[in-house]
Amino acid sequence: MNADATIVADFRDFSAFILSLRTLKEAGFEQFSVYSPVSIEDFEDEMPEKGSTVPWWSLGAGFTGAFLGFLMAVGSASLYGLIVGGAPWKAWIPYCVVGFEVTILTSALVTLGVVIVKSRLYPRTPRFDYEGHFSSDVFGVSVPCNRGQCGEIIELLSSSGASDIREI
Amino acid sequence: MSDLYVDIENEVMDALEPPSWRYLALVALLMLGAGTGALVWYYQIRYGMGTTGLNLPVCWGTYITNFVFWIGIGHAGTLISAILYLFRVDWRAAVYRSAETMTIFAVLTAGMFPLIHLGRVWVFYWLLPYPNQRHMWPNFQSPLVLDVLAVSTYLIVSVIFWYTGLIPDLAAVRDRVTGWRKKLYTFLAMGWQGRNDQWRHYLRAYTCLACLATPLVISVHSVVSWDFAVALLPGWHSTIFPPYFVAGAIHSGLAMVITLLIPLRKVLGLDRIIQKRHLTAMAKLNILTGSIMLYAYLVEPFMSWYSGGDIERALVAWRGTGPYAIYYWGILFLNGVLPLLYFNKKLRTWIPSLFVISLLVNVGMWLERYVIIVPSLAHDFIPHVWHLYTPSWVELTISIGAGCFFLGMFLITVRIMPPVSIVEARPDPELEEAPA
Repeated sequence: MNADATIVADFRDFSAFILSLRTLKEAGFEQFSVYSPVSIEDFEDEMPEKGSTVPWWSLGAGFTGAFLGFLMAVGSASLYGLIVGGAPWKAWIPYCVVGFEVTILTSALVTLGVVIVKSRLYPRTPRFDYEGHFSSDVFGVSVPCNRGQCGEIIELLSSSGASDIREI
Repeated sequence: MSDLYVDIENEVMDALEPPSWRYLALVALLMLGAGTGALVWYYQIRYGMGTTGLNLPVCWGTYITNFVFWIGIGHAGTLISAILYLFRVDWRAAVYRSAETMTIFAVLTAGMFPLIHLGRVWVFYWLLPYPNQRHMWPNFQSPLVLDVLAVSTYLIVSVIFWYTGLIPDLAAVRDRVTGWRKKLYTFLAMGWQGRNDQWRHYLRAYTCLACLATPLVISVHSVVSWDFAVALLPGWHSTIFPPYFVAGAIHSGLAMVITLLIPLRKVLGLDRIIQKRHLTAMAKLNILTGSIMLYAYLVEPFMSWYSGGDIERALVAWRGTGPYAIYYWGILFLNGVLPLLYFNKKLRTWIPSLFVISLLVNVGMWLERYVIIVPSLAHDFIPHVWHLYTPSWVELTISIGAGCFFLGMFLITVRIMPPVSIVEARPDPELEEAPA
């Protein structure tokens, strides 16, 4: 959305914050960002976007890791003939440990990588509409808008109980 | 939001303020201890493994005891942070960060000992699988190689999990500090703003990491136990070892968390966040793990008797009556009986008793590793090779130095990284606004 401005509202009261999200959605404003100083886990249904593909990446990486782990163990046993004292050269039970460890390792590394990319986590300064108190005790709602809509959004956020509203 | 949000934040921020000279002096003393250990390690490298008390038949001694002990200590961090997170246990929030920090340095400390024990530490990379011209790849059937994989995986996953959990807190710190600290925490917080799209990916990732870390609690010490259990040695060759080791690891780790948190909450002024009820909850878990330990201690002699093996029976009898008997009976009391005192509510909720019991459990758990390793090697199949082992000053100094390294690094880290999760210690906003 090519917005002319962004309206940022602060909420010190949790129920007012939730009310503002519902009001915005009811008024047809679906594209907004929310800043929360606590985990959104318990009120994620109120958020403009839900779900994530991160678990699928973790699962896929886990399967890949399991394959790579077994491949490393079996491959090295095939290529490098260690003297194993009459024991079978491919020993599946100990190779399960290798497979398991590489599964966990690959999946954890990929999960970290994916969350960094998807959440845009790399060393940088916060976005223009971010305020330091959003990590303290204030919830924030940031709504991009065109000139004609800004007044309506300010009105909606104000009626929901915002403690402070500003246009950026 | 209530003032509680700001209060919690302020208390954690106060803990990150520059420490007092006493604190710095303690850290300096610990680092001096660690440095002395490093110098003595150099002495051991220079003059060879003959400077240790290790010899045939006791070729594994204090170093491997330390390795198993410190790996075990690391288990409580993952238990508290990952497993209790998945079960949504509310008391976890106040203590998990310190437990995770403890885990990382415990595993790092543990990881040093196989290298120290190698003797020729400069060829440690032979353990790693990479194409080379020697045509010598690690044997993936050996529990020792599996150990390398398990411990390094555990360390990497623990660090990832610890750091991922820290990100929202580092952002909260970033927004409060100025100057060079602002630059440092801006870098460490990785642009976290608590935006809804960040939270939704972050929460899934954190849950996935918790799911991945949980089986590691079981697997790492199971793999460590196989170092012993797959060997055909009386006292080691036992199927009870994996669960016995895992329970012992959690037992010692929880005790170490209690031991560390009691002074830490006072020194950092966090006693309003890390409360007595959190310590009591861990003490209750210690009752469970202590009971499992006691059961394992009782099953061990029974199994040796029931197996009908004369050599196995002889070893168990010798453990209980020979020169290592005091340690054997000591571990039975310290790890099995002493934690049962927590059944008494007064002892479980009185800070001095919690501290003393947890400290003694740690002593007991170190001795337990020693008793598993040394007497079994000292008293194997052939009587004419039986030989007692006593650690040399080199081994003792390196062991104490490693302990100083662990404690020093822990004390440094809790003054740089938030020792309590600011975000998770805050009360649920929905509950906070609900009528009383």
